[in-house]
Amino acid sequence: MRTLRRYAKLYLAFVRCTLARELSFRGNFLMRAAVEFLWFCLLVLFYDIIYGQTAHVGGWTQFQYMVLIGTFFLVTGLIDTLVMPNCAELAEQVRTGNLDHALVKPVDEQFILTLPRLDWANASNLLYGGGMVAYSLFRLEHWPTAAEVAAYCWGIFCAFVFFYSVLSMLAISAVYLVRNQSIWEQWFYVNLFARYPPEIFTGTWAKPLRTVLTYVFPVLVVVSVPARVLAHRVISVQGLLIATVAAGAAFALSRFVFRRVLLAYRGASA
Amino acid sequence: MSAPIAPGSSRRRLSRWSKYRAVLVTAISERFVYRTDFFIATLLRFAPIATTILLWQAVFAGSGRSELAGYRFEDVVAYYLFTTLGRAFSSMPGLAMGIAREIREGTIRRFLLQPIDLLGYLLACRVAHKLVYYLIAAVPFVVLFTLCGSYLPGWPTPGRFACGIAALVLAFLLGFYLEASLGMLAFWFLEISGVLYIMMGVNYFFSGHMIPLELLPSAVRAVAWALPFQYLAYFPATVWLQKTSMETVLAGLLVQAAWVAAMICLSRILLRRGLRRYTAFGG
Repeated sequence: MRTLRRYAKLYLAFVRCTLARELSFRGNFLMRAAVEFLWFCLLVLFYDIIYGQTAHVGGWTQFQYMVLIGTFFLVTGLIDTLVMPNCAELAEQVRTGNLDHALVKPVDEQFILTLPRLDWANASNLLYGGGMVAYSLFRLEHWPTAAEVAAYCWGIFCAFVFFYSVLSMLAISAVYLVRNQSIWEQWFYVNLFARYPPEIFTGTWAKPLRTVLTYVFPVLVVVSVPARVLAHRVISVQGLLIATVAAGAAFALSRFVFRRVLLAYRGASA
Repeated sequence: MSAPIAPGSSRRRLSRWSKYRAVLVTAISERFVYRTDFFIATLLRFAPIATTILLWQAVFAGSGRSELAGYRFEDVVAYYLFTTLGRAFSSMPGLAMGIAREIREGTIRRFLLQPIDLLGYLLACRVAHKLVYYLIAAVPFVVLFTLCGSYLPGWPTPGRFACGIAALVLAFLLGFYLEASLGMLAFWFLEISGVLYIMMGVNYFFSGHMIPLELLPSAVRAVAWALPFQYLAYFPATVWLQKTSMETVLAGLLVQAAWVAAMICLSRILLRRGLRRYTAFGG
């Protein structure tokens, strides 16, 4: 309990520091929030054009699909705000040898390497995503029950833990790769599958792919399960179970991988 | 002791070319030093094709129609394959950001002191980057085009093939000088990352990489036709798709070449004017 309190205090200090830093460059913050909004608008326009041609995609109507997209923005917004800036910097820390400074600090190395920096401009995606989910539910005339909201929040939490764990492992691979500039691209392509409903994975080659992306690397499940809770009003126990197991297993694996890989690290700063 | 090289002599021209050849060879070696990172980044770019095919398959199934805005399902798949090919030539990751960083950190001053042209140097580096990229991406491209062979139109005539290659080369040059011009804005505004991200989105959308331009609402489509971005992916794709006449293709190539010339002039003007107001910082 004492350790937990210590880490919570430390994390609050990170939050305060990064927020103060962000507020000293307000113009840049607003510009970046505008950029995120532009990308959000482009995606909405894209799906608007798609739904101009068809009434449903894989059994999802336009506003059901928009719940999925909104949920995707919520999850990726959380990751981009809380995790990505650290993962992107980790590779550079390995290359320059600055990782040594982090490793000598008396805190958990995964915590200090993957969580201290917050990128507040990306937090705007939480607003866009949340707004999209709320607007779509209004258009669908779905008023979620307490159980649905609880299942949705749990699903989002599992998705966050799953992606955080995957990203931690990708980032620490820089110890072997020496340079890992493509971490942003790797993240883009990992989450790419999460913005599509699993139902579109039909056909000879797509069905095995769906099985792999559901049970082996469940990126298809972690966002679509919570989205389905609100969009289709279906609390899939099996889906939530897969998401929970996926998050737990990925987190445990990331702890193991992180420690093992760090053992192979040879300081480059001395 | 060797005699000085007279201006305009063939030896001087040779020395100029050997300078850029040295840059090219060094840049290729540099790419191979961090080959795993480069290899992963190259292969990952093929992942979205799978989801794009599946999405459009679902759209066609849902619409119950065999043609959308003149595109059959096979055409849409072929279109995305060809735009991927076009983007392999025209996308310039990190170019504008790199120029802006050199200006901001003051390291651009080495181009003022050394007898090498900034744009020539960057072009040689980018050619090296692309050559290594094509070397690594050749296998996935061949596999992909073989697997999707049934969606593709037949082999083009030699004339159209030549036009297709020309469109890709011009797309590379247009992408390079467009990005370089954007990077030069850092002479006036030190922090331009916001502008670059906005342009990235605009480019992605109006180049036709996101969706075939014919499917855009008419007002947005009119904007897309007036901008140069369509020549980065959409136009080369339509040449290879063989859905347009040779007259249209040749006219398109002329406009594309005109955009390239305009961007070369713009980047040169921005560089010259930018250097005039530039003050070097740093030790």
